[in-house]
Amino acid sequence: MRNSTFGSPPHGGRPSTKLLGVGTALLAGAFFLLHAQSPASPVLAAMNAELARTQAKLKSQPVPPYYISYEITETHTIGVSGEFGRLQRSGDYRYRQLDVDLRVGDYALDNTHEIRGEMNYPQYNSAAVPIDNDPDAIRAVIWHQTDASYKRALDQLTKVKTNVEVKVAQDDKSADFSHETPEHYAEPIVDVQVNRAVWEDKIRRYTAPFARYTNIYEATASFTAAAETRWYVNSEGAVIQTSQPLFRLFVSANTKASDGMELPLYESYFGFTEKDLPDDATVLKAVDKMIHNMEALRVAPVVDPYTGPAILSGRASGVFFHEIFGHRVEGQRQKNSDDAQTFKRKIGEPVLAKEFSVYFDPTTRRVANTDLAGSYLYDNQGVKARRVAVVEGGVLKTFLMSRKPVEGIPQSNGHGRKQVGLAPVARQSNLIVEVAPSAVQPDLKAVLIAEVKKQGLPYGLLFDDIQGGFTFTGRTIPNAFNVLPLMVYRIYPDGREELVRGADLIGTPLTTFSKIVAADKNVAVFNGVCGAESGGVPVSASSPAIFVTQIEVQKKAKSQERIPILPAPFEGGK
Amino acid sequence: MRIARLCLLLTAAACMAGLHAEDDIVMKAMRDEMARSMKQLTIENLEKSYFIAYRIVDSESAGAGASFGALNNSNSGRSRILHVEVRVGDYKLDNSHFFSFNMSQGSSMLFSNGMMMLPLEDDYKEVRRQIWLATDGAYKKAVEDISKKRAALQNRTRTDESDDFSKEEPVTTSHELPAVKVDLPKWENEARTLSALFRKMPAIHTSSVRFNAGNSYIRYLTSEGTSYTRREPNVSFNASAATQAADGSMLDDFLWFHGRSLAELPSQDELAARLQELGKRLTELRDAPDLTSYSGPVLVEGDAAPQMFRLMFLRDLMGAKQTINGMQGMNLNNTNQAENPFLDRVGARVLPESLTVVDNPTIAEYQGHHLAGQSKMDEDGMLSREVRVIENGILKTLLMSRDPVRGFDHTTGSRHAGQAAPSNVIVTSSAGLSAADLRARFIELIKQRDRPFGILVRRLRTANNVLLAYKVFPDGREELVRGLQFVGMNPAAFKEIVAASKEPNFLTVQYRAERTGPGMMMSFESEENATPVSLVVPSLLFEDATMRKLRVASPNPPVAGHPFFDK
Repeated sequence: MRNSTFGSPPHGGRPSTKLLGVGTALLAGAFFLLHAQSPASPVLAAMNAELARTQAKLKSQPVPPYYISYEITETHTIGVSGEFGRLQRSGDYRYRQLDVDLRVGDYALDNTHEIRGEMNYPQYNSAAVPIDNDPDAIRAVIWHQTDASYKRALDQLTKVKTNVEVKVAQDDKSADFSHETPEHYAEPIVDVQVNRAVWEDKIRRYTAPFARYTNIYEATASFTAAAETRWYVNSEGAVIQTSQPLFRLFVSANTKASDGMELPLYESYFGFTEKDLPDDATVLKAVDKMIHNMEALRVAPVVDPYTGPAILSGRASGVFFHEIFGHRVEGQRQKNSDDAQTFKRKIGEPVLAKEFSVYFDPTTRRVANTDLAGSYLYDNQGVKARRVAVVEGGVLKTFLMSRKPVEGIPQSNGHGRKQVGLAPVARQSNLIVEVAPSAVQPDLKAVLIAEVKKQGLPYGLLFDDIQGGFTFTGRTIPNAFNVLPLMVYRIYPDGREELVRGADLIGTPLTTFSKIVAADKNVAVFNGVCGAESGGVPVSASSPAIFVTQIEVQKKAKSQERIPILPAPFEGGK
Repeated sequence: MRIARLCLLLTAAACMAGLHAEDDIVMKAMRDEMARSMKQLTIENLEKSYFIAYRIVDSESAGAGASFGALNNSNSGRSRILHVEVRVGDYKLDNSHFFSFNMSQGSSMLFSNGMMMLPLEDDYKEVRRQIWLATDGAYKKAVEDISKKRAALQNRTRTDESDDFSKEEPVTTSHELPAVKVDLPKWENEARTLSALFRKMPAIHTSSVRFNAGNSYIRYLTSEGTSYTRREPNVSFNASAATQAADGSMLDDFLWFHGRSLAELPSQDELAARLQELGKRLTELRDAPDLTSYSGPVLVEGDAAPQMFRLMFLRDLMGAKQTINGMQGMNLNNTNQAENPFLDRVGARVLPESLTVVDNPTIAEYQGHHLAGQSKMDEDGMLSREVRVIENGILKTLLMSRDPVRGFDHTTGSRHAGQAAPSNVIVTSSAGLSAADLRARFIELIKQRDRPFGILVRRLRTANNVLLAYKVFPDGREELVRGLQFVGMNPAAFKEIVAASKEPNFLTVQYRAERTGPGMMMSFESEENATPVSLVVPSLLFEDATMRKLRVASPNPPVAGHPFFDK
């Protein structure tokens, strides 16, 4: 996962009012029905009214829009962060943002079509919307953004048409936009309420143990409670209101070995309710473990280049699948002429051992007693979420799809996602690795040792934790970004384990996949925020630990900055 | 916020002797870590720092914004940020004025750029921890930079041989204005009410208003013994509105009012009146005719006089030192950084003999108007003072920070927002005319030149966009013209001003230095690199100025009308 565990929250299922029998042609009618039966907000009313007016007004234009969608997202965030036992920030923020998707042309060829030979900037229009439920003020913003979007779309369509004329015929003849069933759904709006003082106190206590150490250079914790409410309407008749609170706790610390190598560690927790976050004892135990691990890592030997068998723990495997596999099955990467298209021609072919399956399922909310951050009911294009079997029995079945079709896959499967303010593309949700019983081994360590002996190697490797990569969203701090294993052990033939540092996992995805042969039963979940062209979206990855017959490891790039010259200006201690 | 420090004037010796009973915990942590760093911080074989400065800025801010009667956002926050400056080498040649960007692989730690977020709570040990780490990062960068800089200088000659840093007497000061307290719900309602005025202005497409307030408390300490504390409240109101003319031309304008206390902001009624004017002038501009080109007498009055002085003249009054290298890969070559022409014009006439320009940070009021730029010290801790920059048209000096430039070796106590910047700029005329006389002189010029009309400028949007211009006919009639810009207007043209008014025009602006050199690209627009500057400038009559129609591609007017008015 390429970004931080801070970011925009996901959506999830809640008890709801399902709308029935609403015609797609009668937008205004659709709204009133919604209003009569459910807790639809005045925001939705304003959006529908302006959508109907826009359609009527633009109908007579020479090139009217064939599709318009409006999405307004309200984010209410309560955040507390601290460092070394003291508070850094504490705040409560609420804002609303409008995203407009307006298309001219038709489903087959529209203004969003790739212009080959040029940088293709996402055409999206976003603006802040008043947080008061004032329909006139909200409609004024929608109107202005619609007008700007329409003009931009017209300009872009002209360029698209010229580009199609002057360039060679495109390999991928798929349409630009898929036809989908308009959805109608509204759940009650929920807000988050937390006692900030309680969390300020917790954050101080969670970071205080680090403060005794003179060689831990960063040690922060942050708590976020956020409610994200989304209102979505489109000209096909979709009317959707979802509202989901979520809670996160993130603890991060960084030290350096004497050769300058940075050794970051972190813990992150996620839940749909405040109760789902761990209690103080659990967090403080994890903090102690981080401190202990940092001390061990500082004196651990640096890894040597290595090719051989390895175990990836459940969390490490989840992140590994997310990075190495997940990003390569996002639909639009099979279409853009600048992408590597690793899996484009592989549908129907085996890509993993036949016991392995990979699902993306935004409708699953909990695995292994952990809430899944990549859960939602509808994607950002109003398409209903569903479980997608991408690999079944080792065979690649399909890709993750937004409403941008690729050759052979004309429909979305509810994975058109984005961060507020950006254009949606196909993105991951909850990645779930499932393994048939025939490949499940009760003791992977024994399997690893057998393989080490068979290959005549001095040791095998255990990747216990992989850093998903994280970034801080503070204003004054550059956004750091990392993908690297954190806790790696050598497993010797006699069963001894030795911690090493500085390992970078490398290799080509297709070869590496063919070497995954076994798993255990210990499913673990990684919750994070994934960053890509449509911004940060919450995702999860769940997997049992896996056994790989051959992986390749190299030494990671190391910071050349030495440890601080002067000793700390205070006494350290245990 | 913090316990107020007494205003003390101590000598450097007294400072170093440890007479700091009034230090709070944070200042004590700064002082202790600085003493240790100056004495001990060194890498074997490499030089120690000759100068270290710590600045800790506590900020609290609050604001509420609204549009069309509805609240857009309302928020408040606090932060405490440490800035560390480390210099190695000596005053003559040090690691400064050299652009380098450290992209160290495998490093994500944040203390390498000398800037750190500190805990909000006063904790001696934690403040020292962060100062320790930030100083370490800044020192390592400084020793690396000076070795790169020395290497770079071996292969080139410098056009500016001035020192890198001026030597100044240490000063201890304090400048503490009362903190501003904001009733945020009240502001939310006022913002709603004021923004709702646009519900009666069908010609305006978009609009917003916003109140902002902030208190900053700054502690500053240098290894030379200079120190200060400064509490600086800032309150502002801004509004913007935009529309399009029938031909699609984009028209937008804004209001900005600043004060050091709530009382210094215009009243709610006054703000409402100014918003009405804003809406009215944009509405009138939509239908105003344009003018292809014009050359002849131009009278600049009202807000336009200080705006024009700010946009087209003021920049050259600052002495700004350039970096010795460009930014690699950015096509920026230091030889292309234009030198300020005024560096060579001290003693020469740069304005008409009747005009005098003074920068005066020591006053908070002028002719009953609040001035925003008052302060006892500048950011370097140097005592601020009245600087007579141009006297009777003759350039006397430039406004300087501690960064010398060719011919200017010392500070004038004028570092604000990170570099030499003005505070309160007062332009006076020894031959100022009454408004009526100035107007008469203008009309006389129009007639002399045999022009059918002259141009009167009342408001500028940017240097290249005159928002409010009027044709003035010899009979005194005024007619609004839309979309003009000045052609070839530069500081030299100000020498040709033929008359000025006796009555000044007052305007406070958010001043951001327009640095063109590398390094500037890295800084983002924030309140921290802006400083409020008050300008007091008479109306100005130019004998000959050229203007032409502003030519920019405009989108078509909206296809559908505004939903509130189009019913």
